Amino acid sequence: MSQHPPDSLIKRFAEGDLPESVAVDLAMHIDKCSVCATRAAMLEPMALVFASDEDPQLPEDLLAEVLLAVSELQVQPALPPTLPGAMPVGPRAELLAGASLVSAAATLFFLLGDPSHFAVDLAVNAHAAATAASIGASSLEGVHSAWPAMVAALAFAGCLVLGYALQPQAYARRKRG
Amino acid sequence: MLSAREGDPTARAWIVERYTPAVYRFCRRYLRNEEDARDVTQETLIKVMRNLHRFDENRRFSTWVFSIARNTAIDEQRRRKRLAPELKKEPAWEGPSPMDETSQSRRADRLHVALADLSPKYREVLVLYHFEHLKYQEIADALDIPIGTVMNRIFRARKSLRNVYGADEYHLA
Repeated sequence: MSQHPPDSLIKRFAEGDLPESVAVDLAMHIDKCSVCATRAAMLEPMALVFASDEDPQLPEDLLAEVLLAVSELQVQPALPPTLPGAMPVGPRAELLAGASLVSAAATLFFLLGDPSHFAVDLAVNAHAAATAASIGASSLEGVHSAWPAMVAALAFAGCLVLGYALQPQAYARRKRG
Repeated sequence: MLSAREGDPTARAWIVERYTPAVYRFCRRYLRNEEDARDVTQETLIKVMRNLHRFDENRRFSTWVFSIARNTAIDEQRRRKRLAPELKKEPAWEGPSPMDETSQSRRADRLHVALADLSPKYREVLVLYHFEHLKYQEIADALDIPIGTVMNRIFRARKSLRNVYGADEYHLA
């Protein structure tokens, strides 16, 4: 709506006699056009009634009470800026740490234990879930979650090395058994 | 805003001084009870300050403040109903009884009674539009409803008020 609508249309609008789609268009125009907003206010049937109502007086002591209450609040820190290497806090960090441990344990179990289908599935799935959680959190949080992802990766790499180192002994034990 | 977020006491005090009157006016008209309006005003400003770090800067600050005030007022109404479930009807307007019999004070008094008879969802849009002078889109944002719903509620509320007043009484001269 680029032009000012006629008074007749604004009057129908103010009285609520327009179809909703037209009323919404006109309302959005009035929101942006001070000229039409003034005209709508003048044509509003209840204008005189609303204008006759004086604003309730703010109780004298209320502002002081609110100021005092607000001054006693502890300031909430704003969302932290992206600090390289900063550890996330709260449940998400604990969850990721737990996922890293599960990943490490599953990998160790796979490499040292009986490589049956169940063990393979368990290890692969657990590690995939833990890695996905770490990567997902890292992408959401930026560098804040880099540490858990790195912990998971290091734990996985460590277990891999340890597993390969110990695997011949484990097979030898099983053969002897 | 940035200073207030970082805890600057002067900036926080400025926000309180700037918005307390408007929040109180809204609560007084919406709840129609001075004590409740005082409590809700204080609680609203405390919530605003506690949640400054969550404020989305794409929104208008006043709209955000009114949305908190409105939600806090609704919570207060629910609490009041829980405490006194036998009181189904909300309290009538407790404004000062006009001692003088001027036509303006009589008209205002009738307006308060008529507003008190409206359901809260109609009353809140009328108060925000006609007394706090929010725009239609701002009301829609504050109440989290479509603009078409805002329009419908305002029109219905006005019609309801018009039924209270005689047709010859409310038109501008």
